[in-house]
Amino acid sequence: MSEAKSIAIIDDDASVLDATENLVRSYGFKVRKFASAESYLASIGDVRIDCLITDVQMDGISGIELSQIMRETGVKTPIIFITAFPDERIRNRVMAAGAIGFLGKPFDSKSLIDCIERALLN
Amino acid sequence: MSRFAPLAALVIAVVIFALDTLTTFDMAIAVLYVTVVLLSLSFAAKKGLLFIGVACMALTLLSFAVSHGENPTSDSFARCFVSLAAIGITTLLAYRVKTAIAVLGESEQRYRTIFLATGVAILEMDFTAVKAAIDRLKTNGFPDIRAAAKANPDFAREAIGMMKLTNVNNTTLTTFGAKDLDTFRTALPVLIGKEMEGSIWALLEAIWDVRTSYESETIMNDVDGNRIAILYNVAMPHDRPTLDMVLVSIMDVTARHEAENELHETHAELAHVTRVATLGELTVSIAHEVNQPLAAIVTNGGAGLRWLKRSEPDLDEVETSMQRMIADAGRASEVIKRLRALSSKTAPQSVPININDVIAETMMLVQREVMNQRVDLKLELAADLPPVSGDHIQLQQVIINLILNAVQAMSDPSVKTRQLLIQTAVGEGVIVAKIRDTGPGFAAEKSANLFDAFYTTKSNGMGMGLSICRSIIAAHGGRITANAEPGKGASFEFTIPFHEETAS
Repeated sequence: MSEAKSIAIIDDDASVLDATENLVRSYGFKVRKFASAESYLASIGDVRIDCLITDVQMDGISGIELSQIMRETGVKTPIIFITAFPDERIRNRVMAAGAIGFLGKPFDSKSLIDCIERALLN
Repeated sequence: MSRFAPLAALVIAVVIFALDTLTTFDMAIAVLYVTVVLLSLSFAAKKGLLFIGVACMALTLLSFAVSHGENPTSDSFARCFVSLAAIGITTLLAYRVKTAIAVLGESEQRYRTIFLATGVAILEMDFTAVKAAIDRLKTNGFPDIRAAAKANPDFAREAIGMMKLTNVNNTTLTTFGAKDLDTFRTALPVLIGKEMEGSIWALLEAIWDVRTSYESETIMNDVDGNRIAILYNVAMPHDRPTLDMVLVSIMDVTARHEAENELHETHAELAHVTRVATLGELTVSIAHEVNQPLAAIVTNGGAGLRWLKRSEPDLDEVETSMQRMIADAGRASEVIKRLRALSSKTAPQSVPININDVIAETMMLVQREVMNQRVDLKLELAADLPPVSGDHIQLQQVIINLILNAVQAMSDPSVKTRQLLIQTAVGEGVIVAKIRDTGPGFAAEKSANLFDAFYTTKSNGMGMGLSICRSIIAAHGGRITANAEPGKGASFEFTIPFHEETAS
């Protein structure tokens, strides 16, 4: 088996962040946690990240804005969005912009893992 | 007759001149010229009158010159002088009368013009019979109009029949859509509908108290049966104590009322929308606060299962996952606890309250809706209602809710009889309040759902009203129930226990 893939998770709600990290780690991935989009942006380039899971609504830079900044700066990390307010219009927008997944909270563990695997295939 | 007056005056003048000139009676015949002057009052204008007077005096002098020209005696001089003086004085007096008549005519004309042309409907009426009837009631020992009303509730209607219409202006006819004065006169008792009777009682009270004017806003019908909102004033001048000449001026304020009502409705809608929006916001924020820990629980559960199912189960991770699930569940219930604390932040008061007072206050708030929907309101409030202990505002909310529901239930055009009955009574250790309408009612099997939150039969309703009513009544230790006969109406009844010691 090759070296474990590295997944970054951003969520400003600590318990959701911990839970998501717990789930992803239980599938054997390496996980890096961030409490905000700002702290994630600051870390880009430090370590290789194979897939990013981010909350949509956050204080400061939102998940959507983060994905735009990454696209503009040429960072091609695949992104999975999770949100407490699943809205069709936002889903259509982010999927059109190339997102791998758009999940509403609470999400099914299996669908998140499926998304991650799809992201890593690309 | 006045057409022949100038001719008659001329003939008389000629006869007098002939007699005066040709005869030699020992008397001042020329004095008779005053009849010519007086006759000319009816046809000559002011200047013409003066001219005729002067002409008569000239004729007198001419006769004198002809008959006594050569040897005038002192007697004939005196007679001529008396005649001239009489004609002169009469002419002067006639001139002044003429001036006075002209002034009077002008003022009458001005009044007529105003009466006919003004934009206000004016009715000239004769209240002599009404005044006499009221004086009879006074003689019969009634202390005031209220006592008289109790003895004869039909007196207002009878009084309307006694009001005699003398004249109306054109605006009155157009306002009420009447063809002519007679049509209007015949229709008047019908135009004063049941809705105006309260105002008529107040007018009768004004007559009883010998006030000089009365003003009020009410609803009348027009000839075609449309409702007109009016502002009317009844002027009863002191110098006509028999009230044989009463001026009623009426202003059509329907358009103004409609604008006001629209504004009022918009306000009510806005308040409703704001409430819904507030509740919507609240729901979103509550949902988010509860959803986050729920999401964490589900995710930790998924992780825990995964740690268990690995080829080498990691029980430490399973334990951590489960502890986190417990912690997240705790967080969710903390949110619920905070929410409860928030809703009970404004502690309800507990003061002695007479439900009758609350109903009376509430009626002032809902009067407009009741009137607009043409609902016939009947209050049967028990006089000896003991006070209950509770929160004034909350109980008012309950009553407003029940009344507005009742009025709305009857607002459908198919509802012909619109009666709202509000009753209070003393029951077994409880006060009972009942609000009954004659709307379409509801099916018996629905009575169980009526008080559930979010249950509504209205297109724009939230389904919170009756649910809140039930919570409030329950908090006061009482019960609320609904009864309906489909097609005949619905009634809502609530009870609140009172304590004997506060009752006495």
